[in-house]
Amino acid sequence: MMSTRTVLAVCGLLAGALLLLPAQVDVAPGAQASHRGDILCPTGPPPTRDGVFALEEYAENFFDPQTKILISFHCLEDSNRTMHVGLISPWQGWTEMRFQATDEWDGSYNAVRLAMSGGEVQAVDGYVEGATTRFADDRAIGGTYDLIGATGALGSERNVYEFGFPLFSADAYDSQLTLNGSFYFQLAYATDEGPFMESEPHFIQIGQFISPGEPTSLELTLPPGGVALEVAEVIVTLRDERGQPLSLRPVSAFVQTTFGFLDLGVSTTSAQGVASFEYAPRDEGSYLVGAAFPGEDGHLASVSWFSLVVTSVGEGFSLLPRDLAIIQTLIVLVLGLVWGTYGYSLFIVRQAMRASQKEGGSRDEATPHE
Amino acid sequence: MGQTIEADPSLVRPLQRTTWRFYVLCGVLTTIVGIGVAGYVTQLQTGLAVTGLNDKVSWGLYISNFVFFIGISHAGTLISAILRVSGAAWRRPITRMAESITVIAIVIAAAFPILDLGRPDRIINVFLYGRIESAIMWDFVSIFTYLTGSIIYLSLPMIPDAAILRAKYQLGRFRGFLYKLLAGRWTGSRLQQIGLKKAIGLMAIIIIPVAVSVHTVVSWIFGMTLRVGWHTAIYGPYFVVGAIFSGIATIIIAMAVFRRVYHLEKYLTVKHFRNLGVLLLVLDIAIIYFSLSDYLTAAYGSQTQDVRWLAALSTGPYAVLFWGMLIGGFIVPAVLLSLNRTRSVAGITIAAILVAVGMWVERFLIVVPTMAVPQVPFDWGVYQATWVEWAITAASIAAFALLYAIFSKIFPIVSMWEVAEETETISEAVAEAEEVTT
Repeated sequence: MMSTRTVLAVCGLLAGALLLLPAQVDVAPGAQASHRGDILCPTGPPPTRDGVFALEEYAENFFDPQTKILISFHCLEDSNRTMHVGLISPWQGWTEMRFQATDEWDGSYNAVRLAMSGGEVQAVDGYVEGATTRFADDRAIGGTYDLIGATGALGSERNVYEFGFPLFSADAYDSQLTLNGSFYFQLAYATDEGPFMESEPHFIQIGQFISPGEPTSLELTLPPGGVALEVAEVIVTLRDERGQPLSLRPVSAFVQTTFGFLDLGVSTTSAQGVASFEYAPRDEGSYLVGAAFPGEDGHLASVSWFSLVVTSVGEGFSLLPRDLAIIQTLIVLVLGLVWGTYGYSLFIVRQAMRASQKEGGSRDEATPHE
Repeated sequence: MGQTIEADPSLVRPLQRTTWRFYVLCGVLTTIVGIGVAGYVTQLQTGLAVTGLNDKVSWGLYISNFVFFIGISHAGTLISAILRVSGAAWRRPITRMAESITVIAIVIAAAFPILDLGRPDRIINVFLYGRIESAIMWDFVSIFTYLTGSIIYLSLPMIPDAAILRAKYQLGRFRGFLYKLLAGRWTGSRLQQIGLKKAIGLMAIIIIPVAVSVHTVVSWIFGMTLRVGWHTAIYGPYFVVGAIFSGIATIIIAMAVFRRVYHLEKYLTVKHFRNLGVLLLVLDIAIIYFSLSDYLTAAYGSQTQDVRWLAALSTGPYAVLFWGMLIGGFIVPAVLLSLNRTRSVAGITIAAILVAVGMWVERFLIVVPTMAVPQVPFDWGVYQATWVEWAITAASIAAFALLYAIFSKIFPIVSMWEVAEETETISEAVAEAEEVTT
């Protein structure tokens, strides 16, 4: 038989072991986004950095399904190996592109932060060291501002940013890519002062051969005035550069909510290049609806945004299940039965006490004798 | 019950004599509660920022404690109500311990959702804007119903004891007032006995489905939510079985403590420990079965989020807790309760302590890792409980022990009339047997 001290010691040890707190969970890198293989950075004449996307400006792009940001790339074969980037972001706060020229994504990266403020673009060339994960402006830590011609355009549904940066920079806090090297990039956004929400790291290769990518366009059609709780049909039309419909292509649609994007699913376009989705907004308000084509061999990705304005609540609709009245009645009946039993039990005891009083019993008489 | 009841002085002795150890214990427990109160004041002043709760893991220790305490409140239901309804006579010395655990545990548990609120004053919104579609509303109604029923169910069997204490013992004005209030017009007449037994019988029957509903509804708070690890139909029975499991463990621990401290070896015999040990073993096997079923179903489906969740539990940051719970909280107790050598009072008590700790960890693992799994394409949630949460958690356990200790100084922790009735029944049976033999 074990002594009490031994019992307590064993229990204490086991309890201590069981109560250890969990440690931080790290996101496992390694997700390699692919546009029919690795993302390539084709070369050619530079795009116009005017905050307006022209179809022919970028020869390669990538739609990130997590952040819903479309990023376009274009590389120059100059001495700095300048890369031009175009971003279409649905986020009104900071949009960030992170890149790292190492073999593996280790958490340290160069970062370009962009936001629209008062109709002007704010662009910060920064650096984040993996160990501290603290963002610092390059200039504040002894580096230089190397962004080229950052521009932006504010849209009601999305912001457009364009900028260039040297892949082979003299700044120690910038990218140091060799020719035909590779790098990782990541997209992130912050809606307020809170932490940045980020995509998986993606992989890019420079200077590799890529089949010509034809720009595509998405047209998003929504009912002019939505009604809460009524199903709104979101119609998406996918076309190529010449305006011809692209059939049998996957198209996804999504709606921005307080807690992130609600995916409406993936649908295949018809012979007319049309895919449709259904969405029933719960309340009045403005809903940012987006659709994206992820791209394929020979066709670039495209994204489109539209605001669905829900003005009223439809008549005859209810959030409650149709038969909830029956369930409510049953719940009330069951609760009534329970509380009735409580009351009846107390009533029985009270009646028994009173009856004994009438019988003439007294408390003293009833006292048990020891 | 009534005029002929002979109350055993050994059951009243803890009410008459209080040693310095009791006051030291109360002092220590009150200090721990005080630290918890200080922590809560800090939280009230600064907000939930002083806790480890965040936008991703918004339920941490507080809700884990809530589920845990609601679980152990089922002790009263099983030990008292089910055994009373099934006519198990051996339950008599432990019914009051079980019933009082129920009431105290519910009171402590009910405080945690309020503690979890950054603005506790907004609890009023449950009354003002509560919606019947909300599982939180169901929870509120069921817990309030269960608490009320448990108080009635605890109070009714205390009437005869209160009458005995009122008439025969001078235990001070406060306790005298309580006995007078509770005993009312009790004379112990035959009519009163019939009435009381009928009322207790009714309450015993109705409290069982109420108790089951309470933990089912608590499980629905999780199960009705479309989150990985939670959205499963198994959660209702899983929670109910887990609740009874932890409730029995708590009773065994309480029995071991009172047996030693109040010298109740005569009433809390090895037989009681062994009977409860068997129940604990059965429920242990059931909980292992449910856990296996739950985790295996998720693992076999191998959906992305399920895989992440299971990886976090089995090999990730929660692995120590997870395996500690399975091995230390479920398997080791099963072994201790199965082997004849370890089925002693000490062995069963160790198993019960392991189960209680293991079940607390189980509640923690239900709440936190699931919330940490990203539901939208964001990063993992990270939760590190702060000193405020640990202080309040420790305070809740201390408050539970303190209230229980105080209760044992106001009312006999073993029901005097029920054990006396059992003795009478045995005496009558022996007399009848002797008569027949003669």
